[in-house]
Amino acid sequence: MKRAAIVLLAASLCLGAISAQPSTNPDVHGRYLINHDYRPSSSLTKTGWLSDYYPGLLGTPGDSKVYYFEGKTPGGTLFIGGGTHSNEIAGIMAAVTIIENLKVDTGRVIVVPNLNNSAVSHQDKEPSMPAYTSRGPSWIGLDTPSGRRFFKYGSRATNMAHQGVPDPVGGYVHPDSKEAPLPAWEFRNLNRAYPGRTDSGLTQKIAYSIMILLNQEKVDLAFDYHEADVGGRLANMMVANPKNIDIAAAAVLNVDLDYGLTLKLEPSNMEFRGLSHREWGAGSGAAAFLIETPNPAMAQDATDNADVVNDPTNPLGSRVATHLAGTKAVVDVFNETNPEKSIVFSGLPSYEQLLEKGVGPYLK
Amino acid sequence: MKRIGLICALFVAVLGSAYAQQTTAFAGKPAVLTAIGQSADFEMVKVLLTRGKIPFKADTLIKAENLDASSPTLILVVGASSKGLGAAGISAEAELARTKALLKRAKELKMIVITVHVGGAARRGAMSDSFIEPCMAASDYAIVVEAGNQDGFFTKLAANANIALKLVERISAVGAPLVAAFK
Repeated sequence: MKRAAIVLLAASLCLGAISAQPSTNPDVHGRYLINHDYRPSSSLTKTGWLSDYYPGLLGTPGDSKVYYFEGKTPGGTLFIGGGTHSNEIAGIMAAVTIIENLKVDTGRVIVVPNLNNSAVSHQDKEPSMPAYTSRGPSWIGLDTPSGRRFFKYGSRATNMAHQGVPDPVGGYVHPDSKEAPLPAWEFRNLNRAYPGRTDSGLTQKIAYSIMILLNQEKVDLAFDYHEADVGGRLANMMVANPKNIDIAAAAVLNVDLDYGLTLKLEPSNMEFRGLSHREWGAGSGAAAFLIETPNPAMAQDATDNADVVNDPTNPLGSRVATHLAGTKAVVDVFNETNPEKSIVFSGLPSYEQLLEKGVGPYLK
Repeated sequence: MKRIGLICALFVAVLGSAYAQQTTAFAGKPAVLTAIGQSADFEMVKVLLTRGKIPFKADTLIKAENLDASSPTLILVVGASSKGLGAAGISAEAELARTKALLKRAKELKMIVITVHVGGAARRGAMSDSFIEPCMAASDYAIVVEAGNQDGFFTKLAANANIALKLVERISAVGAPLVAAFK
């Protein structure tokens, strides 16, 4: 009896000791990532990771932080993605401006400022990649109320060292495409990879995780923020999936009327596979939109010293203002026709404020 | 609020000029709206007509045989998009043939034809111009965003066709004269 009591006591001591041990599994979220200096507003509900949607991204350079803002009243869900191409800095900074200022009253807003987080890690200039895709600084600096802060400027494509699969010989063809091969490096272009897959490169896995997010979170409106060459066809454009082109058309008219902002409008080309607006719209319940602003470093005649923040014609403030104005206009049109799924938020700097003072004063 | 105010101001201004010129409102309802060149500009004009409460039937690819006397006005949103043509599965040549057939049928039916060009310089060029020319020649009225007329192309075509041309500064200003054209 005494021996049995001693055995039980010893066993319980051992179990206690085991449970008191610190975990031997370190948190590997973001293990290989740049720790972006983003300072969310007090309305942030929680943060998560793309790897929450596809665990295959956990601990890889393709994982990325997800910011959730939930209103007091239920409503629709808005998804904002920046950094599909990490050299398109206004898209990233528009998402960061939202994160740092947003107050959601009704519905939910989910923001991923760096959809392709691997792309911030390099600025490779590969022979077949157009020069405009890899110009620009390594970081941008902005004067904010708390002092000068720095934000990463990267590449159009996933880092080759992270992709895990070589670029295809003979060029990249999307698995569902009937079109001619694209240059091989486009295999690492997130905006040619949707809906993604798990048995391919890191870019395809990132795309896959984003599709899962859109579906799992039942996103109603989804935005992908981009930039384009100054003076080119895409600059100052809203692209919309054909199923929601009517919302985009009304929004484009409203920003013209409200701000004198002229945005061109195009529907997705349904034959050109892999693009966010085409695949998000087809593969989820979300109405999908993409906004393009003119990046001075992406002009055909741009130099390596192009000023992507204070360019006199296309300063960062005006480009971020365009992204936010286009988004707000779409949300307003959506709310008019879907009152039961309204998404109501405030706190963002106005179009005029961003034009006048730029982005820095509206960050923390 | 600001938008509502601007819309009201625009409508008041246009209605005022309409009363001053009895001939301003000349188009009958409902209208048929089509895209000539298959650009997404069609979608924006659709929104403008809806907001102006003009009854219309929208069909990007309507054919001549589908026009009839029940719709006395034909609105052509003109401007070429190679992407739009591709998505619609129609060649530029076939689109031009459809356009000419539509214009011929509209004339037979004594329809009012209104050309609208809202795409600015981006909707000019050889392909767009090949659509614009026959449309302007067969129209009764044209509304054009000024950025598309910087070379005076529309001004010249309107003079040749002896039709009224309304130039507006912005796409959001197209709605007022378009709505005011309807009786």
